[in-house]
Amino acid sequence: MAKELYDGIYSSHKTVFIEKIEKNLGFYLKDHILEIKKLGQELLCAIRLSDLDDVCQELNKNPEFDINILNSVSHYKSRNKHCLLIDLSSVSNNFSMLLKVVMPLPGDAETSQIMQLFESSISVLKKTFEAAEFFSERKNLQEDSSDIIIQAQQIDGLDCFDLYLSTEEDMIKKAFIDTGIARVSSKELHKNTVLPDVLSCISRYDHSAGLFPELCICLSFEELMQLKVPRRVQYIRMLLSELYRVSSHLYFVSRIAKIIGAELVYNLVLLERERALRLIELITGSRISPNFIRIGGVKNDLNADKIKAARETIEILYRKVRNIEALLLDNSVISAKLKNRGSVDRETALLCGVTGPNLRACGARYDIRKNRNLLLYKDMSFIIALGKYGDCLDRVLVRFREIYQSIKIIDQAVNDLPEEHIKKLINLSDLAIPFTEMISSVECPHGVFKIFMEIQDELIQNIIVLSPSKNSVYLAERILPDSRFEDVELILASLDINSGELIS
Amino acid sequence: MLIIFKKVIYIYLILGLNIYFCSYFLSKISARTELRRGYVAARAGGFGRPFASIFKYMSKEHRLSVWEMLLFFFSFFIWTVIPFSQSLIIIKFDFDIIAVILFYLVLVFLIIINACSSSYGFIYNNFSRKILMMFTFFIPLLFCIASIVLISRTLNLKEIVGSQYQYWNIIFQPLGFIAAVTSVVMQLKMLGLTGKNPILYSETAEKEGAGFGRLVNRTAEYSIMFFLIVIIVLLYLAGWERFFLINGNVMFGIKFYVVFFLLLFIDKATPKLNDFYYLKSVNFKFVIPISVINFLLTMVFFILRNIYNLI
Repeated sequence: MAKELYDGIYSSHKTVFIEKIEKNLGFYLKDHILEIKKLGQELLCAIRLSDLDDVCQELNKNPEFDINILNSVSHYKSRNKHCLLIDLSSVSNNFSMLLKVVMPLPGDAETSQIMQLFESSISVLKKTFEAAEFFSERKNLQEDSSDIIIQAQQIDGLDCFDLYLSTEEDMIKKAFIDTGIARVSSKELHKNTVLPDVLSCISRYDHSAGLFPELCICLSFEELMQLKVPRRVQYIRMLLSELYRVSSHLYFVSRIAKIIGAELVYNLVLLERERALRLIELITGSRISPNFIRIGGVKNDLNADKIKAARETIEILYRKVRNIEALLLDNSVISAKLKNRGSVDRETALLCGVTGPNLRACGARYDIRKNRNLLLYKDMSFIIALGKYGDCLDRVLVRFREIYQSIKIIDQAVNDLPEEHIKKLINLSDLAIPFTEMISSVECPHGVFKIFMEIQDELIQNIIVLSPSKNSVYLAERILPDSRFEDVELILASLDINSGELIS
Repeated sequence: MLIIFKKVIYIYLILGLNIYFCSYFLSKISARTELRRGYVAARAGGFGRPFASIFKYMSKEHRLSVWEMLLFFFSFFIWTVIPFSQSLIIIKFDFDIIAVILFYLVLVFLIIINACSSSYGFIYNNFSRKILMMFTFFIPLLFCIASIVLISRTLNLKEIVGSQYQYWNIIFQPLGFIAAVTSVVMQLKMLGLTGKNPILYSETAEKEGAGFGRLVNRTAEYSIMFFLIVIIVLLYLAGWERFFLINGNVMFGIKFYVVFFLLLFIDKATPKLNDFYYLKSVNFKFVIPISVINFLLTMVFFILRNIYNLI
């Protein structure tokens, strides 16, 4: 009781920190910033295209911001204006922000004009952030690096991009990944749709862990409406998130086992994933696209049977996954295959804007479950799994450790589940929402999954999915050179690139 | 002439039966170890499955290349010089172990030529690497054979088996046995015999069609596998020598299937070996040194016993 009262009166240290950053931004960049907003634990700064260079230099060089990572750049049209959305983050200061760059173009500008301006702004960004080149038009690379072309669907599970390789004997000299095959305009797809429609199909952006996009959208609405979500709901959400994390990581391990040729491990892992999926199905009624999270709550409460099933399942899961890990990694042949393949150092991973287990495998401690007050993870006891060398072996090990930590969190969530009634869910049609921008992020199994939305009168104007897999693709392009052709499949699979996320 | 014809029929009947049993067990055990249902779904009907596969392959249209035909015939020629028992051998001559080695090398060479028929550059590259690795994995086997020849003081396989009437060579040559088995396991892994697709067809099957050629290739592969197993049984496990009251021919069959299942389980317990750098390091840092040490020890033993009469 006292704790709840305290939380209600005082802001968390993270919120205070974000407010401080907001003030600093206002102080240092007052001549350049058109508008600055604090949306939850994210910041949104609107600037002009002409000020982009100065703003980037300031954000990069000023130690109070120390922004050195560019996560993504995307173009969208907002209220008859063309804008660029630049996602930036700082690992040392532990915060992220979005730059909304208003382009000096009329609403009905031609595509060529937009592309020209887009390219010029990318070239400006390149001065400060090396990763910006990934978001520019790169057709010339495609023509250069075509000794070997591996088209989509030729490699199991990697059916969302074409791979162009230039090789010297069996060593790769240059690599280019074309994700054009997977690109569908999500902005147009969800334009002028109501939220329930979006919620029911948003899980397509992450087919291996469909809960996270739903959670992301609902969190942003809750932040907008300043809703106090019941603790029981938060616990159920955490339980499901971790179950999906386990399922996704097991899917990852199965792919690695398949590529290595460990058929037994492959089949065993899929059996355990099936166990996790059955529990998910019991709780949500669905396996891949749960459609379970609602604004301010969840679809169904957990009854005694479901809690009992969860307890039994995680106990078996823990034992079985331990066995699978021993089978897979105690084998010297397999360890030798994974070791020193596709090594990434911490700096390269940060430069490419990679998040999630791929970043943690390089030794960078960055997990927004701990760093921000996401759901109620602060109540849970768990550690962030870290690797050291950033090779394929570390990526597999980190995921195994994350599975154990997730099982630990599920166990705590099940045991400490508060006895509380889930309140009535919010009906959006009762509310008149003015034009609003929303951002929210969650730690999905592949990294930090972020959604930027614009909404007006219960109709969604824009949805931009800022997914971690795009950065993993960029990282793959960086690490494939100087590795052997035989390892291509393994390296790509070890980065856990999700085809659903590349759609956006 | 009639005797030779009878022997040929006997040998190929034995080979055919063994191919049938081995393919049945291979599928059954592979399915079990990979947690698939496999032939369980067909129950007793599973016994007829290899026949059904043969008819299926035969009924599909496929153009056979010259190399495939040559490979098929050579894989059977190799059995003309390998003895199955004291009397069951088609061509008798004193240096048959050299002929066996030459036949095997020709067989491996034919596999390379056959791989050239693929129109895919990368697959050809991959195949040729595999085959070259197979040649290098044959080096330790050659050293082991040389050691056995030194202690038996003969180049005839029948005499080598006869020299083991008291003690099997595995007792005198444990290091050699380890090296030989490792070499054979590696060669079988490279051939991909226990996988769903055989080596010759593994990567081209879906692209270039499967039919009678697949049957031919599969038979050739089984022939290679049997050759490697029989070589181990003859050199180290005393071939058809009787074991107490058990008949020699029965013992030969038992030893053959023991080695077959041993190789099968080792194969299933280890992952796919397509990393040539790893294979190279295993071969040159482990298998070849062991076989060389074994050969040198045997040589020293041979010199001390036969030249200086010290042992």
